[in-house]
Amino acid sequence: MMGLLDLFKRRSADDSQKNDQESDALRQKSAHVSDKPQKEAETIIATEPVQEKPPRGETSAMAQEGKTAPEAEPVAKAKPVAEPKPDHAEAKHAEVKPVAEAKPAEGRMQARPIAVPRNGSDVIIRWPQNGTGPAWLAQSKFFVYADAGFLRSRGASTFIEAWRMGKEKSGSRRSVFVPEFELDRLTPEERERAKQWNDVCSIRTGQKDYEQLFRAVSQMKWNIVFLTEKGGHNNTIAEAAAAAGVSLRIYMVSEDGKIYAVLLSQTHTGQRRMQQATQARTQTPVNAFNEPMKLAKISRSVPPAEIPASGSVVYDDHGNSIRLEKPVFSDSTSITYETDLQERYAKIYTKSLLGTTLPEQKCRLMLSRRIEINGVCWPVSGLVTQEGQFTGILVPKAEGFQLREALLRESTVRKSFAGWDRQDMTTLAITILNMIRDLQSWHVYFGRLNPSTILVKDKSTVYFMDMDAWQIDGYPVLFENRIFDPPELQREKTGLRFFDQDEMNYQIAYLMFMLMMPGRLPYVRSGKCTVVESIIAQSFAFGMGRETRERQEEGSKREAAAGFWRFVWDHVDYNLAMAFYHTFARDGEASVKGKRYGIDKWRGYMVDYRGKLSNPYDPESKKLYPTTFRRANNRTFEKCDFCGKEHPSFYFSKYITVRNGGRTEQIELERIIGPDKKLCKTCFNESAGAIFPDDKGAYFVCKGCGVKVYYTVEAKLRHDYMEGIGVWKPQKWCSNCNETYEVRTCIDCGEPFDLTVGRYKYLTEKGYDLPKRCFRCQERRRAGKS
Amino acid sequence: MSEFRSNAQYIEDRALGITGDVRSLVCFCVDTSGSMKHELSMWGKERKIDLLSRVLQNIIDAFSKDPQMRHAVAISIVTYNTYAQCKEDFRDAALYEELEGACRFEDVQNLTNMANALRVCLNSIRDIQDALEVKDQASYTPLLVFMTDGEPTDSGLWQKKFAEIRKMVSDNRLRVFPIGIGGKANMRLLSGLFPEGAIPKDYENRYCMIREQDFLSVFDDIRRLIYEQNNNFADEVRTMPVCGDENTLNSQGGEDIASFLLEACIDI
Repeated sequence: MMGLLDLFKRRSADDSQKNDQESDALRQKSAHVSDKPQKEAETIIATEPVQEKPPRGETSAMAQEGKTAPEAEPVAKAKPVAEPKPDHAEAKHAEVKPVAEAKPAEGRMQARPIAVPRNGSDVIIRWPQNGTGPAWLAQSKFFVYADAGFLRSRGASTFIEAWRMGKEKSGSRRSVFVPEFELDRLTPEERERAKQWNDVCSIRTGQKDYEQLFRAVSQMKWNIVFLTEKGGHNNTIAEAAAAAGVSLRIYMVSEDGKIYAVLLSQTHTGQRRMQQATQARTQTPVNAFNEPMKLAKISRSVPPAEIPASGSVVYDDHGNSIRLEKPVFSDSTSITYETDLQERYAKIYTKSLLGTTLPEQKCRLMLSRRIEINGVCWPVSGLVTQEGQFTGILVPKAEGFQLREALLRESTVRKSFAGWDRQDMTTLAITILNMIRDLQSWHVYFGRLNPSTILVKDKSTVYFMDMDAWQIDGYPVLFENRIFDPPELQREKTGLRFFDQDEMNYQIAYLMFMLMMPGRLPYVRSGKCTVVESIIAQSFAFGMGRETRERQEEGSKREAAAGFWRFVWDHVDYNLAMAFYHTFARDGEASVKGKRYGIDKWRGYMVDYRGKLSNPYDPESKKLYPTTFRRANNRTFEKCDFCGKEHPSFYFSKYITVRNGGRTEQIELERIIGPDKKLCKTCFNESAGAIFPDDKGAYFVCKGCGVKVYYTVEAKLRHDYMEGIGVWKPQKWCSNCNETYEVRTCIDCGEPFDLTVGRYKYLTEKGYDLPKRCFRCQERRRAGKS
Repeated sequence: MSEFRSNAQYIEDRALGITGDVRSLVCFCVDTSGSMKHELSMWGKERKIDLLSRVLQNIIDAFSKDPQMRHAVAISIVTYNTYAQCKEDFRDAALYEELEGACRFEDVQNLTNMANALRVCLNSIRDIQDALEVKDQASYTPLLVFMTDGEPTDSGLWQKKFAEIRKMVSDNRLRVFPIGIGGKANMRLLSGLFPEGAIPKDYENRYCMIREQDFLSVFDDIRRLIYEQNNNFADEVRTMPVCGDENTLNSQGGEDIASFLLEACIDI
């Protein structure tokens, strides 16, 4: 153990000395362009925390990191808005040019595109994407730590080799740091192996565990990429980093040396800090409303003889007159008018609602608290008629488009959210969640979601305009929309009720889903089941297969064709998609009452997703409506020989099912279309007439109605094969003509038999008699005659 | 999903791959029996079939020209006389723009094969629902607009089909608009398409087309219903806002439960 350590230390010290000299030379060289390193280090682009003094116990290799600072400076100036392009993009997709590896000469200039802010700044850290290669990492601003798990992993040697090459190409002097105490976990053989990587790995001495290690580096405000193996002590590492306030992400290394983020229960310190901030922010104010428990006592009251309308004058609590102008919103219990006050709307209730004391009681209760949250249209005064009878409320003006309008239809989304991308949508989701959360701290709950009353001005400006309809104290919501109710409430009898936090969490998830898949509901609304049946059965429309996110139905996997929504779903962030799946699918872990994810969790997912969208692996992922599958690092795209489009390899058909004399066989497709030919699943279900226009086997003409009907490509290929083995009989009737026209009774056996539409048409048109005997008796007669 | 389809079905299939709107499905089932050649009433000069053709074309045009509804409404047209046939398979209203003569009905024959007509309609609806499902797309409860000016001339099969439709309507899997054309339409028979107790008020008068105006008002009802479907998350929401003005935004969140339930809570 000590021998190995000594070896590492000695080599590190030698390297350090050598590198110090090189660094000095470089520093002198670049001095003329690096006159304000401190300032630039604070910017988004180059925020290498290298100006800090390394902590005690840092090896020389670590110290050399500090000397690269002056070089970072011109980089920041030269490419202030460089788009991040990790090298992993190159391997799979030619259109995404790998900056670092393809152009080593410029690599140094462009290899620092990822924005790595100092901790505590508001800027989002653009962590390396899954599939990022070591060459890029070696030149990035991240500090890379590794443990024994990494050193013994299969991908370690490939990783180190690529790192080494990256260093050589770019001239970087970065190292992978291994904590000293991790070496104890290595076997002698593993240590021997690790010795060969001495030029890349540096040992970090002086600490006995991760708590000490992270405490020591906590002041440096580094962003650490931690390499390890799957499982193991990852949670311990993450927790120690979080406790010390160190910004860290854990990755594992694949066999090809690429890094992949490891999912943890409490992964990122950013999330943890955010949660702490959230807790602080959502502390219940002392004068919050009571938690809704029991219906308030409501009495009858005499409504005004005439309900004010456009042109009428009403009076606020201070006796000021307000003229009602044109109506802007309306529901079944009220009309909201513009007023002669620039910034105020007047909401006037209907006579039937004013026949009870509910609106006035609720209004007075709301006015007893002063809630000032941006965008929340909290009532500012009650409104009375000239006779002094309560008639409505005065609320702040709201503007923007109704969220419902935007979420209902994909075509409306394109109109309302013109120019928006998915990142904007996540910002909108976060804005809404923040507002709901702030209101919840006052014990003001939406109860039943009503997207018609949420107005969106822009992604960060949202108005909740119907606050008096929310569930507050003893006052429930006064409308019912089963679409938003969780499955357990679907069969509940209609009535006034209070929604608990868990039921509202479900609705929050519903809203988040609609924002991420705008124009789509989580549950299927189809011919086979109504949406309510679908909610009860929890048949979530989307699945989470391994990579393909296949749809799961009744326990069996059935892959849907590449369709509009499948593409959109495919691009939703994995963690978020998984959370949706767990919430909405029957077998999801958060699909039952009491286990649903809370608002903070959804907010966390959205913040994380927004961060990832700053630097998506596939630019298509940023679009609200992507037009193809996600180009993920573990997917190989191939070209279809029939349509010429590129699809992931899982989207190509390999077999065809053939029925041969009662047996069903799976025939390899290449036996029919030829070897090395690829046929995608879209073409598989396409009209054979479109793919094989000159082939007579692509269609048939119905003998009954004369309509030309086209086979799918799959059916045509199957028929070709069956024809080849002599088991195919050409088709005569289309499905409509094959239906029963009338039921006749056989004159021989007396049994009823069906006369099909096609046969009826054919016989009558030819002038033949209609059959009097069933098919079996006809056969028997023929056999007897012969 | 059938392994063979008409060209129109493939066209719609491709449209489903590029737009994700929830579809309102409307199947117009048009009687083209011999009696449809006659005038609607003794005052009118236009033949029933021509008038129907014109009104139908108008409603399709209204949807296809509306940018929000172009891909939100899919329409099919089934015609029937001695036989029934799907004249136009379900396709988005937008795709009707490219279609010439979709609403021209020239093949007029003697008989009124209702059973066959309803079967073809249901098959057509089933086909589009299958196609939507394969594409992971949703649809609202389909609407069947069944039009006739006479009585069924087929064997007793129509009764079975009527029962099937009644069941679908009561299960909320179908909404039906049985429309009688001319004074001789058997409205009582047509009301058999509604489940017991669900026959609309004044059905026999309201859905019997005697004048051109009757057509316009019923087709306007259908149009409004489709818009309503598309303006609510649920097609069950029937509560309307107090102010029905088109320029006033509807902020109704669902069915109003205040009006009838508050009474029970009042402490008198």
